[in-house]
Amino acid sequence: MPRRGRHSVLLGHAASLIFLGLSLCPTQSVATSRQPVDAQALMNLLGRVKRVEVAYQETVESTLIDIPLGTRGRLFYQAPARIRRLSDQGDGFELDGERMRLISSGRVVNEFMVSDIKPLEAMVGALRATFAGDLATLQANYQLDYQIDQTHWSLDIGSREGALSGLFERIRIIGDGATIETIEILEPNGDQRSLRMQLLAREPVEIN
Amino acid sequence: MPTITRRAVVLTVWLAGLALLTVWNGLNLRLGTDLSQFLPPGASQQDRVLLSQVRGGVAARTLLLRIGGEPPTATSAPGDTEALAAASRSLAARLRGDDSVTQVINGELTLATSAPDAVLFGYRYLIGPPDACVDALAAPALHAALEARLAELASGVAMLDRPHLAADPTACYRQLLRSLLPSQVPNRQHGVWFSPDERHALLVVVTAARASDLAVQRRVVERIRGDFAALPQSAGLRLELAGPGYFAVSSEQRIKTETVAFSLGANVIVVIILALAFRSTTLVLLGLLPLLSGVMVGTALVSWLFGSVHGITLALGSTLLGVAMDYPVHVYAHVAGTGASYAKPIWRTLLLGMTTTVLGYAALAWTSLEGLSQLGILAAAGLITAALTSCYLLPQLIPTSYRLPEQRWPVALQARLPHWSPRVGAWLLLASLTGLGLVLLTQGSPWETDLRRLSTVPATEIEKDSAIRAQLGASDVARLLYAVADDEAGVLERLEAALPDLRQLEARGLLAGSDNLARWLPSPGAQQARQAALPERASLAATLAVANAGLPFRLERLAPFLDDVERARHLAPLRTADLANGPISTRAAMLLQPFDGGWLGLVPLAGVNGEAAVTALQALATRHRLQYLDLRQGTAGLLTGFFNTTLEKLPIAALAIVLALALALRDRSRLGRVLLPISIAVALTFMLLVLIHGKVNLFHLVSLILVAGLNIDYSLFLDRPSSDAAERLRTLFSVTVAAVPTFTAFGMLALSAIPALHSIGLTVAIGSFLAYALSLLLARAEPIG
Repeated sequence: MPRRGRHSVLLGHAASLIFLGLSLCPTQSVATSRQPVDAQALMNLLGRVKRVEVAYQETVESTLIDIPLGTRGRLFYQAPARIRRLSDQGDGFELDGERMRLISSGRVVNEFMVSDIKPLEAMVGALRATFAGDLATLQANYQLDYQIDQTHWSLDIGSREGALSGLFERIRIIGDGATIETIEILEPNGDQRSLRMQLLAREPVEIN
Repeated sequence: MPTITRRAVVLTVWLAGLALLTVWNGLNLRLGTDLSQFLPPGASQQDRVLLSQVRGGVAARTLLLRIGGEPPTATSAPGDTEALAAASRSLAARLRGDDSVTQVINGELTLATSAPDAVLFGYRYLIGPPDACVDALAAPALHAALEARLAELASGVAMLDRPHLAADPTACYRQLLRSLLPSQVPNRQHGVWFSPDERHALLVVVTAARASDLAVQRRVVERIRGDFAALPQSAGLRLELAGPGYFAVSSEQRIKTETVAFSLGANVIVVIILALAFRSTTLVLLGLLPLLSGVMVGTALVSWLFGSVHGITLALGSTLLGVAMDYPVHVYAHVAGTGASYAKPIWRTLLLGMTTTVLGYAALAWTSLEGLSQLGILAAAGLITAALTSCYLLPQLIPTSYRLPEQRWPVALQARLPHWSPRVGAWLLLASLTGLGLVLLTQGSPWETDLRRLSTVPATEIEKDSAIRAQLGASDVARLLYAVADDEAGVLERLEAALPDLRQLEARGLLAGSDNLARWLPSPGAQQARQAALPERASLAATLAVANAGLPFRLERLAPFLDDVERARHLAPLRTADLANGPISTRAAMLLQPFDGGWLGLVPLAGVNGEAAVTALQALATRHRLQYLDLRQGTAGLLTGFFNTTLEKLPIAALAIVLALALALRDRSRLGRVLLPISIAVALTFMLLVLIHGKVNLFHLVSLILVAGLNIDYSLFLDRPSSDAAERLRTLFSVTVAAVPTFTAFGMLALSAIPALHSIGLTVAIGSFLAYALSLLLARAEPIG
């Protein structure tokens, strides 16, 4: 593992990659007829997922550019905190607990702790708590807004006391039952990232 | 006035004076621990740079910390690294709020992940790496940079840079931060530094105060320990400290503790022997007065003259004053029961012994080394006080009814001891000198010139320090390049010129790394050259449009970039003063310091790989008008200078002693009998020290002077011509009662784990025993008639 001088350059990988990784954890393509009644019910449901693999498509809309940018790839999640995400170009990351390994063109180029990057830690904390079904942590650190309609639920996670400041203004997670279908991240400058997922495999299979 | 009343008045007045002096010392005594006070003031510029670094350089202000499991064993498995890392983070976070700490480094990426520093960000085009900054503003380079940013935007790479992408599309600031990273960093686990075996989390704390500022250092050490103990994670973990500041604090405590312990031990021995010899509690207690008076007067005088007393001075000074313990013994043995108001029978001998010993100590006072001057003055003033107290105060305090108890052993000793002639003594001296010469021939230079071995720190602590430094892969702060110039710009220009050569040495594996300020703070000239190369706003806007061809960037959104480059064109060059209070101010202040009315630039070197590297660095230094400095070699050179200076003066002191003795004794044969035991004892002790320790250090040398002082007294007293057999027996009694506690007490001191105390103890124990034995054999006076 290289230990010299590259941390600062590659740290930025972490934020978006973590976002991509964690957002895809519990997902499936089959909708249920009835959504969790409240955030606690949703947390209970999501927390039961042990392992999942999805294909993703990410779209970035930025005020800096005229056209949206898109990437595709695969993501693997294993409870409680192991995630590997690789784009079709071989770029991505592996997250194991607090340890983050950045991957470029298929090889590890850097390793660091998520807690080294406070804004990133804040985001990882929000998404981890969501997928671990830890409502208490979410309520303690973020502003939550849970909504349901006939076909979907949505959970808005907002900044409280600057916890997400700098990188994110709001995270919106949209799903159907135990399936997370979309995660949208709105940045303070108006840029938006949207991630759509398609389930490839999941354990336990009976969750829906 | 009745005798008893007069005694009470004299004693009360003296004790009151002593108490006042003790209080004054208590209020005014500042204990110094700066070892460099025992180094010469430094005549050359290199010496002055050397001393400035030894006294207040980065190395002298660095504390090394490591956190490990409890208890650590060589065979135990690596500890819970996550717990160690958590403790490291929490401790670092607490310490970062302390004003007495300028930097806490534990491997966390604080700078890279914090908000951009306004000064560094504003100056990035003048000080950042040219290829990502000023050279990246031409159309092809700018196009490549925009493509890279687009890829990062799509993949989310460098999301932390996203907020300032519009102002910094070439990622100049990111590259500037990269250039600030140290050339070598230790092993990292869980985001903090760890030892290679992962048993310890490592931290480096740089204090604002130098190691010798004991009050601040003690506060910092206590704060660190307190903060660690208060951590929720600290249960089951152990914090270890090392570094000059910690050693200064711990050795102060250690010196105090061990000095108190050994003084107590020695005093108990002295008291027992005096009690057995004189069988009088009053006399035993009164016997402490001369030594106490001497220590108090000597300490007060040094404190008043120098503003502080070095810990080593105090320890060695008290040691040298050990001679004063003999004076009351002689006074009691010869004056008790005579009713004399002063030490009439022996005052000439006692004062002659004191004068010659003071002459020996004067050699110490008469040097350019502050620590040694303090020592000489303390010992001389203390000894004069003790001698005068013994001669003129004690006789008045001895109870008139007191009579010396009958002792049979001096008679037996006198009868059985052989008496060696001066001829035998001369042969013995010749044999001793020959033996010493042979030992020196086989051992080479006997002088210990490694400053660290002068330390009052036990070897185990020094080993721990070395171990932590090795685990940190710490920059070898003992080697550096430096430049001195009239102004900051002059220093930076020289450092800047050396950059390519230093990179080449690193590429060739001769050097692991270096911390050159010019890498991230170019000289004003270089900054102005970069400024001149920055395009005007309109020109850059046109270039940006060309560079964006085929790319989707909205040019109007990149206006902050154009604004920042335009602003950079009109900035005054960045100077270290502008970095004050910023994230790298401490580092800049360490590497560029005011010096001798000008400026001193330092380039600490890491991993200087062998002699070839040293040769290459010396050549590089010559090419770029820099100097290469090895602090260890430098201090060794200074210490060699110290030994040479002292050795040059010792013969003069010895000559003065001989002259004083010759004048006082006015008898060549007596002079020979007095000097022979001293010469033989010193030569034999020196030889034994070289054989036992391999080298002779500062403490050995000073203790040898004490040995000479003791020996003069033994010989002078034993050699006093007397027709009175009882008087001769009293002399034998007093010299023996004085000598036995000396070599017993110093023998105890030889058991100390503190190198300095051990050296003193061993030297004086061996030397005083030899001095006593040789004086008995060679200097004992024959009965007159």
